[in-house]
Amino acid sequence: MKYKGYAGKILRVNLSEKKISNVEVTDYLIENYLGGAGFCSYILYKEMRKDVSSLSPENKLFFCTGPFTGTLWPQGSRYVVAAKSPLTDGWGEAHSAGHWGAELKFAGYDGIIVEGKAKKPSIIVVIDGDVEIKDASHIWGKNVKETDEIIKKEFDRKMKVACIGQAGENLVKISCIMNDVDRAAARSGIGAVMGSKNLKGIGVVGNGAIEVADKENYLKIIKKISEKMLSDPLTPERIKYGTTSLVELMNEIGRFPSYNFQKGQFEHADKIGGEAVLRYLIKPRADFACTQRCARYTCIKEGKYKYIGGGPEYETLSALGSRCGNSNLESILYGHYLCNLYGMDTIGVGGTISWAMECYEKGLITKDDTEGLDLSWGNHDVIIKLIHMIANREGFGNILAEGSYRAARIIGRGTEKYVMHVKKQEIAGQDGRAQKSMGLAMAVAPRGADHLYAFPVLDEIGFEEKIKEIYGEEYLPEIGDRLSTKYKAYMIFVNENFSVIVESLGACKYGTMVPPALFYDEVIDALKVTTGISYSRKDLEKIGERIVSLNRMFNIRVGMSRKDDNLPERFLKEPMPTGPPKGHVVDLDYMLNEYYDLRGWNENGVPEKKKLKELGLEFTIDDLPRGDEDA
Amino acid sequence: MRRFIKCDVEICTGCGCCALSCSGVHFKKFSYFLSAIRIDSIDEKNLKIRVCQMCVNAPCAEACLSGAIEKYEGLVRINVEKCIGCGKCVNECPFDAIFLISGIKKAFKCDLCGGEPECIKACMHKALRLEVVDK
Repeated sequence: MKYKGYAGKILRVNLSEKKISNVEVTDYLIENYLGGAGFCSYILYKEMRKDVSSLSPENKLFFCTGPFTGTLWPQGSRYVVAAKSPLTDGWGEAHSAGHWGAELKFAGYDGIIVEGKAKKPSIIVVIDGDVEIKDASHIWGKNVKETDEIIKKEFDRKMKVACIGQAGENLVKISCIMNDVDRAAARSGIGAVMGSKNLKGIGVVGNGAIEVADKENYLKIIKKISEKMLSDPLTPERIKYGTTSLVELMNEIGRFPSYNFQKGQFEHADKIGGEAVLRYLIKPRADFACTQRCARYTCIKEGKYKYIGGGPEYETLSALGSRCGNSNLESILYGHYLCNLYGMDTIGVGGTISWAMECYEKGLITKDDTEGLDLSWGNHDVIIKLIHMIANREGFGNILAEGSYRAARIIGRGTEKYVMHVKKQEIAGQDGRAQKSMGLAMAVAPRGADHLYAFPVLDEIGFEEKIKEIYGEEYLPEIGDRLSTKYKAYMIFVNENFSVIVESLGACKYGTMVPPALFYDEVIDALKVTTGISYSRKDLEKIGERIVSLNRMFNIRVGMSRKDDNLPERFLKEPMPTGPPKGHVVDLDYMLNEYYDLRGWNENGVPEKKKLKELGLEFTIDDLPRGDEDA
Repeated sequence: MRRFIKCDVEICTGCGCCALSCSGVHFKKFSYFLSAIRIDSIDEKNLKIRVCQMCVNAPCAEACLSGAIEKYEGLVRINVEKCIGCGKCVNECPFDAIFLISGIKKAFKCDLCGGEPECIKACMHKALRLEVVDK
């Protein structure tokens, strides 16, 4: 391997056969897919048949870092974990930070592919080159915090642990994988995949080091990049509030989902926003090598909601707060803490509970279904109860544990109409009617409703200078207007290409997408001094396009197409009631047509043969559906 | 006079930028274990930073079998040529702030980077400072 910055090998653990082996990180992989999300996309597409069932031993769970993970890139801490999603039955991916990813690099591995299923609950223990599968029967049933402590005590206090809580064990479809106690790889129901393999956790100790290509200039270049990010005008707010101050901002522009997206403004937003959260803040926290320190560390000192732990983020304040009509901040903080302990995606949990609450309001779900629980808006006692019940699959919680889409299919009675999902995954705290680009972003993202795959933010409040720099002056003013659909397909196209590069490098979207401080120039410089690779913006954009179309093909071969690039009826037909976006719906078709065109996909959203060839994806051509193979 | 690195643990976020830049500057590689400044979590709330405190009557210098540790203008310095890698200094340090580097088998600790510590420059949260004490 001629490049630096990588460990050079990926660990492969087969839990059925108890076999441990290494996969070489080849120059081809690095040059064409970079790392992280790129490696996951390529290897999982090639190694898994299209008909694999997501909770079967044939599904593969791939944890992968990038070349920047474990280095001084301003947030060099991230890893991706991918598999076929039990929530969407399509491409599944989740991202996290903390310290686990860096530790894996120090241990000498760029990633871990987990295959098969262990006969009994197990953990994988990696101590540098020593890898063992150990019995975890005594840890099965414990929450994430307990699991972390037990593993550290048994093996090494310095060990970094990625694990599931009871929710993943119970195959809850909105469960997640946690690392370093309160960092979450949350979406796509990835926790259930790990649970289905009887894998409780992966503990890593890494005593090695990472080498960079340009030892002389590395620190100088990285320092400049770090300073650029820290001097961005948005950074001080990020440090002070994390993402929590987005509550106030979103509410002001009418983009703060409340009451299951019936409204875009919450009358009690000030009770659950950034200012309110400050009262519970101990201090900001940072992931490995992160200088932006946007993570939170909070506590409630006494009372029934007493806790100490990481979080909350904007998404949770929306998911367990405004979306459920809940203005009791302490219950939201405690609910967040419980979701971390159980290992559950707060967006999925909040999205499912708020769906159930709307159905209860409309009499479609009654106390007979909920076994007496009163699902009135804002009933925070019940929200907390439901979190316990979902994680443990008890009573009504057993239905909710399937996620809102499947729960609605089980109950019927017209409840399907109120599910706010794309491709069966719950939508996050982002309303496409109030920001059209986000509407398109969610509709086309491969893992279902996902605000982060494209993460359009520059048109939220119109950063004109940045817009000129990144997209071009000729697209103003419409591209900077959050309520216009014009040029938004182009915005999403540019964003997705860059964003998958960021996820492939092990870098963070905060600092690259928002604050929009670092872009291709900085990535190119850092890539050169870290790995030795000299790539231009065009080279990187091509890799971005390649990964996006490959993710697309993963979904195409399981039968998805334009019909799945859809938004809930509420976004398409119900006008926003108040605020700046009053009267707006999402004109999705218009944006979708333009987007497919830019991607080189046909009008059914299927990549065209010539595009696949151009991107080096010939190996996917046989998977094109009959009738869509021409050109 | 003593000069040494001091950390305000109330502010410290545990990000590790200090450790990484230390290893980068001294060994041109990135690793917690090639760093003279280490971060430990004692429990959820408390972090402990281990870095040489440049003791006046340095126990490491007294314990050193080969006379490799010397006092020099307020600094406690390890002479790498003289170090035989016996590890006695590591055991004696009351701050657990000396490390035996595997591979080269030599003792390593903070040397204040010749006057402008890299870790202080790397800490964007301003949790680290250079403390100067007269006695």
